[in-house]
Amino acid sequence: MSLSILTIMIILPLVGGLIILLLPKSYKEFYPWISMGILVLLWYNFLQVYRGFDTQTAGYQLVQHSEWIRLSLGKTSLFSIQFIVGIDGLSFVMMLLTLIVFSVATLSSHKIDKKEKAYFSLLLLMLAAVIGCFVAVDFFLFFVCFEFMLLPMYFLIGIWGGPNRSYASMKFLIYTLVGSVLILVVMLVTAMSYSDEFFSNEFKKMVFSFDFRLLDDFSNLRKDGLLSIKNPNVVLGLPARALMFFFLLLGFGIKLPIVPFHTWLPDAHVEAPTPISVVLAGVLLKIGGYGFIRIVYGFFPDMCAKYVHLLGLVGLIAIIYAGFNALAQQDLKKLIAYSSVSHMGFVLIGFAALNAEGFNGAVFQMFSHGLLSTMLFVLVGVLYDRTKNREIKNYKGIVQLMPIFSVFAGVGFFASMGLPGFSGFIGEFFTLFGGFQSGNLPKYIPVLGVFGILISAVYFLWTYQKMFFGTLQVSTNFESKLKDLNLLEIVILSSLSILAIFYGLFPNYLFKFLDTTINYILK
Amino acid sequence: MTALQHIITSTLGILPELLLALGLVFMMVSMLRISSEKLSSYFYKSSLAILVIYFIVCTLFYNQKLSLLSEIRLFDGLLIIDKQSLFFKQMIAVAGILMLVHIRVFNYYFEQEIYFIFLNIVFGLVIACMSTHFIVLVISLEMVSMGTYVLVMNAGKKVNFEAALRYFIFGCVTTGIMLYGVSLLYGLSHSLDFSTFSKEVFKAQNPVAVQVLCSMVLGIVFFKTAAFPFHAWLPDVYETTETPFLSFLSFAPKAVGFLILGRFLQYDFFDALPLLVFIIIASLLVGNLAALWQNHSKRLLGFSGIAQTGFVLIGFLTFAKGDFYGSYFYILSYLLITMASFWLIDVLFHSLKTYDIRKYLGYGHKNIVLAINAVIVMMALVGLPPTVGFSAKLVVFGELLASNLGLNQGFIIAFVSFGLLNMAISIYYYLRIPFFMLLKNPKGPAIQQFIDFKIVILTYLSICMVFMFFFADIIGNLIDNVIHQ
Repeated sequence: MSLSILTIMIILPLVGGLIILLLPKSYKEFYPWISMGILVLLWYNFLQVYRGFDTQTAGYQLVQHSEWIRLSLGKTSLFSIQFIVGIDGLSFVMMLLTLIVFSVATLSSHKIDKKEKAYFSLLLLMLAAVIGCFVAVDFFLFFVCFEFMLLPMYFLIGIWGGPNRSYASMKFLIYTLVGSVLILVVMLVTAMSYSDEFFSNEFKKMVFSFDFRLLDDFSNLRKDGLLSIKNPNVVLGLPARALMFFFLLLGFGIKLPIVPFHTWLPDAHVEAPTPISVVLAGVLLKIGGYGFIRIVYGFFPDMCAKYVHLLGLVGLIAIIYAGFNALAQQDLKKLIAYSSVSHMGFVLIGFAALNAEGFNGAVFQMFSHGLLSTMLFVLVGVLYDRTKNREIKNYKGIVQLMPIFSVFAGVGFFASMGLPGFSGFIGEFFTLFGGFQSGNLPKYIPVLGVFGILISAVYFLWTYQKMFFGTLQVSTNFESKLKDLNLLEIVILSSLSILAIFYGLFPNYLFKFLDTTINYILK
Repeated sequence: MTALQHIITSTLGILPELLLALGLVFMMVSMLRISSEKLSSYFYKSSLAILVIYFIVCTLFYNQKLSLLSEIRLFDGLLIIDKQSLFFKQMIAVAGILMLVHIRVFNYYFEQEIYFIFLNIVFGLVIACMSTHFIVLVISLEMVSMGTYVLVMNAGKKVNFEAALRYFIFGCVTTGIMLYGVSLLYGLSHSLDFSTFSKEVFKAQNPVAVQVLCSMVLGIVFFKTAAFPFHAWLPDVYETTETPFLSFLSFAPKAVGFLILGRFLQYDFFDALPLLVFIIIASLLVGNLAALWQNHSKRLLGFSGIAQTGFVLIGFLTFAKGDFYGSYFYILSYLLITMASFWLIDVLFHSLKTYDIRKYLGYGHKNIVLAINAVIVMMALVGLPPTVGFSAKLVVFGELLASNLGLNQGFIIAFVSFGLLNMAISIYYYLRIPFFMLLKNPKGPAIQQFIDFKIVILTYLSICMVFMFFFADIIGNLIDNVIHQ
């Protein structure tokens, strides 16, 4: 069996993690280098993927398909679990984001000063799971990778986090596990509502497969299956399809996060060390959005069309509510965490538009938020590393002490509030544009969404003004600590700024990967 | 064929059990000959040898017999030999062997009688595996219970007697209830062998009466498997019994209880659904919610065992089809998981001299291999991928969803969601062990400790659990072979 390039990309971080695990402690200065080496190899592989990637092909490319587990379920039926990986425009963009974010996270991990071995192996373990999640073309594989991210994250927050870390990590774990349990229910029910004709005849049993390509095609639906469209089943007072849709909405919504279930996010961010915050905001939240497009819309497009108002409203509430919350924060990191919730709301509005503009915008918004939140958390990390303090009110006029830092902070803040010329603008613009274009979505949702941009402008500008401008007012022991950026930080922040500006000016370099795929998904 | 001939053929038909019984007699006789200082280690070795020989002979002998017939009835239907019984006997023997290994690796010292009693329990269990006859079941299960009381008491402290007494009283009451139910069922059906039962037999009877009587009979099964109304003995027994016994007692009698339940339900002569549903929901809730508050690691595993029973019982909801694939899958993986979890607890106890989870504070930093093992074992108990615990839960719930029972679909979905949400509750208490080991800072300097043989074996068990997730076909085919001959 030959391994496809995507499989190699899943295996590489695992190998790296194993190498780090087996290296004795005395080589601990090599751990970051090994992680970086693995990332370089991944970038190289990704370049190969990019070369082989055809933007005009709609379906999955570079597919590797092999049998994995066959579990019989009694005499009459069988689970056929397959190992299928493949990449399309959507996963391509997500992979790009993953590699950028993890590179930044690894570069900024040099501050980790305890248990480096465990830290870097867990980070690489999580990288493998995230890549697996984005290239999986099999629901089972997707789910396994999705669950597999939980425990590394739990330990990364729980061991290397701040003072209240055990509470935050447990809260994160329980919230996400509840979400993934709901997804598991949907996974089982969905698989059982479809049948694989070919294999069913071969085994003389009902064969349930988790292949995405089987599941997003209505013609494979079993007539007597629970999710059948022709004979609607009613369960618990709701049509079966609607119930499963709500389960998914909740499951991915917790991850995204949507508003009543977002409370784990600020806690987790505040406690997590900088690189982990970067990964959490940069990639893990995106898996929720990715799940919405790939799975919720892929399997339940009819329900998405029916509950489009609800989806939009949920997104709108996230934007407004989290925006107002951000306004009230004293802690800079918490402010950014709430701004993340607010920005992810735009993803939902773009998604609810159910048209090409909205979907493109939603994916672009995820990508752009990945870049910008990474940048913002690195910026907070810079301050926190120097003073161990994140209270906004403790800093005033620090532009005089840290001019370079203030410039980058300006770029990050302005890009995040959606100023034209930065990637944030394109994402928000297209999601709202999609919302206005959409025939189904009530107009008040994008209208009030615009108001959300206003709120974000308020809290970002206000914070920027309070912290950087005016006369210098910081306590004396901070003053000596507030040194300007070092070379590594400049490299990280400048590359992120360049990316944010580049994709803001030339969004087409991202859209060209997405167009065909999005049109195909929407069909 | 004369009666004598029948008895002789039947006796030869259970040759492996005969060997086991002969081994017991041999041990009893040798008690007279050997000086008492050596006796304990001598008994240890001979019981290990007897179990290993039993396992091998059992596998070879019955496989050969069953290659021709799918079911053999001996002693005029008192004993029944089929692949299911073989499968459970093998699991019991493996659990017994692992328990003996546990005793040796952790340097436990037990009086010689303990080994004798232990083999008696094994004997009772394997006989119970082979029967659908009420009288044989009662006798063999009483044999198991009597031995178990002694094992529970063995440590000799006051709490042990208390726990054993509680266990004893519960056992007696359930046996009494069962016998009462059996006698009334006999009155209705004129048969003590429930393999003759069918809907036809009870056609003329009041279905509610049959249901109640069957529930009474099943009481002993729920007692053995520690399901909800009969679980009250469990926490104390778990807290006080020595760990090697516990690793055996938390698995083997439970497994046999499930086998009997499966056999009883497969004839589908009464409506067991309401009873099962009630017991499952109650077991899951009681087990999980009570476990949330535990600080004693063995007590925690005890309460979690009640919840695990609930998960296994879910596989029995498909009884109308006589198909318990999911449950058997779960039981086999539970063998691995439960052995590993008690092994883990004992490693921790031998290093820290405490069962209090809160005292594991930061121990993971001193022994990172042990901490990783703890994480894997607890993941398997919760049922997170990539461990075999996840495959087991997947199969149990998948089977229920695929079964298309005459049930309301909404009910099934609600039930599955309820069961899986219990998984989310359980992660809180299971993770408390790795939580205290890893997330809390250690007291004193974090000096790495040596990895000894105990941890090596635990690591093997953990690797096995992960391996079995990626190659779940192996277990799957094994059980396919057992159930669908």
